[in-house]
Amino acid sequence: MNKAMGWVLIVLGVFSLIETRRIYGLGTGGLVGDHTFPFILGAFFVIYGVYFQFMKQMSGVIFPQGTVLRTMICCALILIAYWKVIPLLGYTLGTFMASTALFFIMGRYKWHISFISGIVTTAMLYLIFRVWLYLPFPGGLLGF
Amino acid sequence: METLGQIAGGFSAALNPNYLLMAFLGVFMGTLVGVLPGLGPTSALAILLPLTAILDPTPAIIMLAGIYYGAMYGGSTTAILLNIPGEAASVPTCLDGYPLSRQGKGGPALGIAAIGSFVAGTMGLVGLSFFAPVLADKALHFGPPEYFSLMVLAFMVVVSLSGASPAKGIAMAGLGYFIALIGIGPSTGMPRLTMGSTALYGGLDLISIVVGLFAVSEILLGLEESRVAVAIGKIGRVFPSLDDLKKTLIPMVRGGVVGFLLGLLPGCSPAVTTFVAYDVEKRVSKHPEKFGKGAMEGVAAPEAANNATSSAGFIPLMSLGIPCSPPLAVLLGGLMIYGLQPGPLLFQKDPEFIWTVIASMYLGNVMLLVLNLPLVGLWVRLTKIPFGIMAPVILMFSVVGAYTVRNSMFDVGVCLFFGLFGYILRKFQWPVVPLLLSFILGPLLEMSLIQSLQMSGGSPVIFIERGISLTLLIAAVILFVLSIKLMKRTASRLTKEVTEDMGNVDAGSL
Repeated sequence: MNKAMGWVLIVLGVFSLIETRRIYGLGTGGLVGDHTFPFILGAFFVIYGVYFQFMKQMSGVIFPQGTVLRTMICCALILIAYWKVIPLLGYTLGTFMASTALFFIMGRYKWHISFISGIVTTAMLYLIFRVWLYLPFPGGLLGF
Repeated sequence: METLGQIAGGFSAALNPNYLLMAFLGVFMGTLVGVLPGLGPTSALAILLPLTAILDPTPAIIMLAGIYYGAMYGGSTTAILLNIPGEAASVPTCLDGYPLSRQGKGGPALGIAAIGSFVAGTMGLVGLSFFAPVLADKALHFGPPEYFSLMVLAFMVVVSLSGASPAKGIAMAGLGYFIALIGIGPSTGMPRLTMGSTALYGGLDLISIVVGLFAVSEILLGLEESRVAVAIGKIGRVFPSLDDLKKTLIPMVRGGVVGFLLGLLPGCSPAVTTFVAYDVEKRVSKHPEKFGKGAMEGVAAPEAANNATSSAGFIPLMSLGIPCSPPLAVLLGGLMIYGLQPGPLLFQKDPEFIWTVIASMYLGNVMLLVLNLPLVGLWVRLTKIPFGIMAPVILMFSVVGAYTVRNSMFDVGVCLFFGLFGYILRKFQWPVVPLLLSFILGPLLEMSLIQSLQMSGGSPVIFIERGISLTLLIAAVILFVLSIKLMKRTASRLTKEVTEDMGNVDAGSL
């Protein structure tokens, strides 16, 4: 992870330095301006990224495997799908589907229990955010 | 006398039914989330932050402060009954709280924790009421160079919030700063680091990042750990006996004093002070051999220190804008959402707001005591909620909450990204709090540096020419050294206790 993070820092550092050059051209050309901190950070990231390449690697980190890993991946996919389909399905339908799926995957409940839990969660969130707080959400297919 | 008048004014405003309700809701919801195993004050604030974002600033901050207090008390419930500290600061409470719970004295231990929290929290608030305005008054003379040096001092807090590795903490702080730079540049008004994406012109939303880093990632970690509800035996009566009260009164005050004095130092988080208070209590005790086996003083002192430090932490936060602990960093973010920049000018520009919030914190402390002693049974039942029910509800609440701040699907994406990123970081013990702190303070540092160098014609000598600025820079160096020493001491104590028999603790919450 240290090495990987080191590479992330190097890439961000190079990007920041390229941006520094672009921003410098937009400003008054002085020492201080919008380009100052991107430059400092860019240089810092590159140096620090190289340092992390030589830093002692951490051992003993165990990643989840088997069912737990599958559950975690499914959860992440459900959330990403929820994010993408809300504009299409609408807030209420999207929330119901995502929460039902999450109960099914995370709680390993049967479908009918997940279904009911999904309805309760959606109703609770609807009550808090739509009814009490008057917040607007995408309507989608159902219009609410 | 002036302070007393301002406190009285604050109380008359805080007794407004609307504000009382917000304080009550904050304390209630904070406790509710705090008692859920594995969730501490930082997660509680992160989960509930979006809910307050639609309120006016005063009720919102009153509610957030209540959530903070409530979640801290909730954390002690799981520490005592389940041996699961929500944050590193609750670890010393576990040491004697859990053995007490196993002896059937969980109820009195919770009662002592609540009373200790109240006593020390009130001591801390008295200190806050009198110290913060004085400090803010002194800080009124600050110009841009002094602000820059102050921000450097604040960044030293990063070291103490870095867990076991300052090097990783500094890298994360850099990353937080990088993220903060995304958007429109303050000098040119032109976009920077946006890669041409118009969605990034407005920068990244703080709440989405907080919710992702602390709420979504926490649930993913919980999923991995396959957290299960734990059955709890009899906890006994909640009200402690007179003998228990007599035995713990002095430790409460001592823990409160230790917590308050250490809490005044920027960078001295509750995790540090609770261990110091516990060790002090063990040293002065006539029966040190009882510690670790169920000594009531071992619960009273760290709980008191925890609350006193939290109250004392509001002094540098309110008067200088420096957060000393992870939850206060989130709280600072909450203040900034409303355009409120904690610092000396806040006392000048908005004294009514400040004193109403401080007065409401006194009231919140009382509510916490009144609410928690009779409702312990309810909180205990809450710890039995299965993770499979709790986790989807929190995830959905977090994601919807991230959307509601700017009504933006982009923010939901940011929240999910930081949720997954936060999980990976925490998995590899990369501290996430420095990232947040740096994200919040970065723009202030940049602005003060630009203004200072414009004042001096580009010469950095201005920072050491001016007395206050130089003093702050020297204080930053001292704090840096002190932070590393205290952090190493706490990390070794934490490692010792955690390896013995402890639940999951985020080292980054040191």
